[in-house]
Amino acid sequence: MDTRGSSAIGGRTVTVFVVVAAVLVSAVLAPVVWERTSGPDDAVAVVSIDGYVSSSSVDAWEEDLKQVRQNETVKAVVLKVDSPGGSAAASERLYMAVQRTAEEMPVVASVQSTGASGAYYAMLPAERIYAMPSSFVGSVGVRGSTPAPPIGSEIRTGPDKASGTLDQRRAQIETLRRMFVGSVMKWRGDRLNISREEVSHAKVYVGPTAVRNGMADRIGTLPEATQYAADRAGLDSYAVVEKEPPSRMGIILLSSESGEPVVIKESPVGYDGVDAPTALMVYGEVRYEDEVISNASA
Amino acid sequence: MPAREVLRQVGLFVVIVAVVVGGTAVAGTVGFSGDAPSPPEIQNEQFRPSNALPPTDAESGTVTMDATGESKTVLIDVGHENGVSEGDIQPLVNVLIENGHEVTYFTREDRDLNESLRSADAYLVANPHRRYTDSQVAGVEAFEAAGGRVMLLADPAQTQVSGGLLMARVEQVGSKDTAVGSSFGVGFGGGYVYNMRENQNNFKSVYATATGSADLTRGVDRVVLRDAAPLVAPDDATVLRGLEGTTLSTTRRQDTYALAARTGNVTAVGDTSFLNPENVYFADNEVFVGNLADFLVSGNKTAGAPKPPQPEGGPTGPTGPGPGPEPRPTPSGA
Repeated sequence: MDTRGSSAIGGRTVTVFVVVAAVLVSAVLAPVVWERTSGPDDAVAVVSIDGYVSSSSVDAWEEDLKQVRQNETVKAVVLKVDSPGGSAAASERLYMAVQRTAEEMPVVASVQSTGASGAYYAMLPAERIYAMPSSFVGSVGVRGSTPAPPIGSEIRTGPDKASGTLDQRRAQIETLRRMFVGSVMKWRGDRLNISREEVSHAKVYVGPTAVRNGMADRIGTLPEATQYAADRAGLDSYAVVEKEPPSRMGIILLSSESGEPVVIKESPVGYDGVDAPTALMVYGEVRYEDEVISNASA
Repeated sequence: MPAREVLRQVGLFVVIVAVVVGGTAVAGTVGFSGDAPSPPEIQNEQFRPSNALPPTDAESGTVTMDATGESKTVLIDVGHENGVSEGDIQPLVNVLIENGHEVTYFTREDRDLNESLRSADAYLVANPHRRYTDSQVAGVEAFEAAGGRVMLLADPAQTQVSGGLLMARVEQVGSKDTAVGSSFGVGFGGGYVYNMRENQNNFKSVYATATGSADLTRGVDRVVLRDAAPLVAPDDATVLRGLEGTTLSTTRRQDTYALAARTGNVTAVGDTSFLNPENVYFADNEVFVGNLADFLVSGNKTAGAPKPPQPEGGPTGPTGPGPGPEPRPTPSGA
């Protein structure tokens, strides 16, 4: 017997065995990898808009919505909203991010406890707003601190360098109000049963009232909103991809769901060491560590 | 099997698995990556300046007086913890002084209001927080009956919270002593008025318009009141009313609420903000302020009124009682 010949046959046998084993192992691993990397064919993304709307939280939500737009498997978005709003600028940023998303796919909003003020602003581009029976919806208004009297002595290059006059401040806040109300009328004007004047009252409405006056569209929970989003996207079967709410960097909200005052450890107005006037689109009394604003109108 | 052959077979295994599994991974991720597309274009016509900016209400005019009579003395009350500063009413004070009239102040140190009134021709009270004594009310009534001019100004009572979370202090700020006004048939209602339909850049900045051709509203089309309380006054006494859509905060009922009224020698206005230097040149506020100044110096008060109490059988005429005991302050907070 030729030992070289039998050795070659044995080597080929082993090679065949190795190839078969590799294919079998791959056949087992490949679906797992496929599942991990490709996900379902179609999905509805649920983006949580939760807590105070601040610049840092909107950074995360904008990124969430950007990823959703770039993910070809996501065919619709549901905004899971539980927020009393926040700073005016952050709310406008979030509104525009939602609007961009709504340009590309159906967006539906589902209000949990509260979808008010800046948070309501943000969900305006949604095709349909679902509210719970006990949800608070609305509060279309703006608030801002009045100019503080000059403190100490310093040299300024102009009379309005620090904060301007009360009249100027009033006009600024009014401008923001007009844009907010204008946005409400743009998106929901044909569904509202209340006038622009009534919208400007900045009331919040519980779910059934909001549905009746057109500030919301349906009483329903997150599953109904998700199903409607899928229907609007033409999905028979779909996966639900949830985006986790961002961490609240240094901002602690206490009892915001129970309607108690929103306690903010990190001031949403101004900057460290500078009491800069800013505008808020937030519902509820705002308490700061060292002062209380009581002229709430929004 | 030689070690070299074993290594070759293991290498073959690894290559096959890597190609299949790696290829699968690449195929699975290819749909999630790639260059970021440009964000979609969005349109928001409501943000255009032409839609967003409120109409401007240019400040113009000057505060002037028409009255040309002799010099008169206007007594301003700062002795009842009045919720208004001298700076808040400076335009009115300035125009009176510029036209040769004298402005004096009744302070807490001047214990006898009636004595101060005797040398005055007009009396201005704004947001008194300290209650008037009966004798003081009687003195003001006698002053008015003798031809003295009385002007009552009052802002809505407001709840003001100050202090920290643990040391919060709640105060009611604004006029609530209605004793003087009620004796002349005018009073100030609770709450404030607002107008969501037509306002000067804020729902609380209401326009008030003249109801007729009263001297007080001569040349006045509209005035802007930033924080106004409604008046309780007879219709024929009302000289300024809110526009259609004016609403009372406490009842949310719309009405053309009376915001300024005159009855005899008494004028009442449910606001002080229009006198403030920051607001006096809005709309026709400066004209209204000039008219109020004319009102204050156009009376014809009997000299020396209100007279001190006379013994029984003494001379008759407008009199007022003595100073009486100092009253307790009006409760104002918790």
